[in-house]
Amino acid sequence: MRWFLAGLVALACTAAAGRPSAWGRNVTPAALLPVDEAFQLLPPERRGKAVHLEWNVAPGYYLYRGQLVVEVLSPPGARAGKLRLPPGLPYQDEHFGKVEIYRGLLQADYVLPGRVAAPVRLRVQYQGCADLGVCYPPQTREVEAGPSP
Amino acid sequence: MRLTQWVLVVLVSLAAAVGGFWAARVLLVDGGVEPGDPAPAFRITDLHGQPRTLEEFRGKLLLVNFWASWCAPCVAEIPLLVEAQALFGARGLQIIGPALDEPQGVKPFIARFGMNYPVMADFAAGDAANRALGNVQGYLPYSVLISREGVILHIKLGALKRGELHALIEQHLRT
Repeated sequence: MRWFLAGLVALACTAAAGRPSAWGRNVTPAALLPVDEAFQLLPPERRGKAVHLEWNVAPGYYLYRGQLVVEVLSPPGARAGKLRLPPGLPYQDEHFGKVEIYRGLLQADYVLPGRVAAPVRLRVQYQGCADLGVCYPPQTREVEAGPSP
Repeated sequence: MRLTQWVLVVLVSLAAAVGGFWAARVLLVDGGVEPGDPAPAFRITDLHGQPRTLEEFRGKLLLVNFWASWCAPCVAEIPLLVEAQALFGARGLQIIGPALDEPQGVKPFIARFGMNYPVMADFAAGDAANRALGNVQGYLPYSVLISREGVILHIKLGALKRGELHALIEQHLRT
């Protein structure tokens, strides 16, 4: 029991020292997930004529529908495709008006213009915020979906 | 527990405290910048193409507010900043707003909110200044209050509230 109490004392000292004093009662960076955990972009998959994209958006975080952009880097023949997004949750923003956001699992498809056998390389852009009132800068990732099965 | 065991516990606690402090500085606060540190020099071009530096604001209580047009909480605090500049400007407050954005994204906001303080939309330089002032992850909004002598007084991640902002400014205009 005494050793247990001593352990608690040590733990409390660690926690007290580890609290970043500069931030006072503010939101601290430590309270926020790293961007790739807040908005986890999963490896893309080929599904029929589409490249399937998934984001796992952590609880307490959201992505803006209007900030999602997908661009084909290669092959050039796949550039005329179209991004198909599900409807988002309506979100009334005081300054941006009515916008749509995504929470939880977001599934989207980039529908290719025809049969594309070669691997497809995409540049994906997205941006989101935390409910704590802090936004993450726009993110850009380059991903590749393997050749058509 | 014997005395030697208590000494051991105290030593382990101290080591843990030092380790925790180090981890917080290095791993959590990213840039390791905190109140009391001298503000690092920066140079950001404003919307008129003029380079603006920390040095030119020496002698003013300077609030550097990093923002962007895509950041709703940033846009929400602009009216408070405009109000604060009007209220406290004559007493020595100077707000500046480096935007992590492109000029065309920022200009509509200047007219819409009547922004009465210098705004910059020089993405690369703004991002570098943001990082130098401790915001390595680029989270927004992010504000840093700097004394007339160029020392960091306060750091705020997230939107400022009116009462908090006024109290902070009053406190440091007096000193």
